[in-house]
Amino acid sequence: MHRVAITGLGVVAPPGNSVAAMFSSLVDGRSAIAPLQMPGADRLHSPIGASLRFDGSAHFTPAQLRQLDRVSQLSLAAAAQAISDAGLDPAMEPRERCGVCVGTSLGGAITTDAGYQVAYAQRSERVATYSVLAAMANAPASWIASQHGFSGPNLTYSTACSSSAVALGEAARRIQQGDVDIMIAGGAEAPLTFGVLLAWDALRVLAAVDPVDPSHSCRPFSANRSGLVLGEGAAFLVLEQWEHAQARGAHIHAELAGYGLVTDVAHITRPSVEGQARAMLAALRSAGLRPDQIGYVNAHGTATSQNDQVETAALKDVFGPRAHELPISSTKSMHGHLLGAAGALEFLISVAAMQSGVLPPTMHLDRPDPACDLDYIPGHARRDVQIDAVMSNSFAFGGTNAVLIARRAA
Amino acid sequence: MSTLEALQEMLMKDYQLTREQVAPEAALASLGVDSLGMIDMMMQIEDRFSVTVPDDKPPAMDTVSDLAAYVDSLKACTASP
Repeated sequence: MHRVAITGLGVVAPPGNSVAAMFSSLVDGRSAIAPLQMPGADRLHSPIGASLRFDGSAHFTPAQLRQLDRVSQLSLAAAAQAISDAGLDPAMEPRERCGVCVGTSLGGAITTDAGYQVAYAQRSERVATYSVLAAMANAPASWIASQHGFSGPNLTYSTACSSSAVALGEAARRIQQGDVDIMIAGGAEAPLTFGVLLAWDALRVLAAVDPVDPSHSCRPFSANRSGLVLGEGAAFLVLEQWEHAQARGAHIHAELAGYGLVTDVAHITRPSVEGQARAMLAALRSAGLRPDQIGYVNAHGTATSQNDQVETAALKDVFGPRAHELPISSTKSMHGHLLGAAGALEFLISVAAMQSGVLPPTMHLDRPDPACDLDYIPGHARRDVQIDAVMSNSFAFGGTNAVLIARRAA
Repeated sequence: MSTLEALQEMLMKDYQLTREQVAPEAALASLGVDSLGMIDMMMQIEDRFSVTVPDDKPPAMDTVSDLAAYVDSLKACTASP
């Protein structure tokens, strides 16, 4: 079994369109959540989200843009960053030894939304030519592969909130098993359409808009938390077989050391302590690490009433008395819930935290919930922290729980 | 503006090409207009020239000037009673 090196990082996410900008924004405690400017926003209970400043026309021609839903545009941009960061020259690699794994929950949601508007609202037949190709969930993975010539396994995982954690874990497994040398793995989501927000409104899990400051609306682990806030973005990592990375003198950010994949069958949405604990334990076992060797946990921390209390209990189960000394934070408080992209973004943040020795905070935690009494790094980043292993949790609607562990590159 | 000039403007904008690249004898395929690109082009032509592209397959078109001639023939169809 080969070890898996992380040799490239790339991000296009609401806090910032590069790893450096994104991470420094989180460390400064800046929330990217804001009121949504869209037709019909006045009809939504929760017209807020974490939006990206990303203009596709700066990256693609008009003809390309017609074929690329925003989710694919973000994917291509973030993947290109990761590949460049890895110093990877695709032309120097055997193409069939390089693959792509993407996690996305909704695929080309904006294209789908626009198509239905034409068909049903406008009662017209003039749906955009490329609708099927732009909307299909596997489009981002396909475009990344065709842009760089990667003809290894090309897979798209859709497991709701854990999609890209699964994509990373499954990509890592293929490298471990020796099927491929390199996998471009990550996730993307561009869900901020009126239709999608209305659907999430109906589920009654979205946060109430904070009357004083809308950017404070997402309050993980707070007594006055009221739900999640959706966000858009993409995060990609270059995963590489360890010896291959060393042979080409690549800079290794960290090792993808553990992947726990577990199903919580208690309920279609309501998480169970057992299901979350089992996922964390599975990740630790796969990494060959003891709980006390983890220095930071990036929690799933969606700020729903249910998740945060269950996750607290699960963390206590796994980490025992030491749970109270373990720094844990939910960066969703600032970047929102990126659904299919959440797993990859948050794992990337965890790796950046380990490398920099700075742990991002859980923001807007002014009124702690007694049922959530762990160290959630409230209000301010923690600096000069020496940690050698980090854990990132993704617990999904439907029950596919995925936990990833990164270890300092030895 | 002639039909040819209008089509050249559309191609230049869509595919970010120079005026030299969209010369009348330029092959559409070499400009990046593949089969799906042609379908998309037909929708834009309908909007821009207020014509209707028939559902059956259009005649084979290689060059920019072939495309202009086709659009002119559609305009003539629409104009006649």
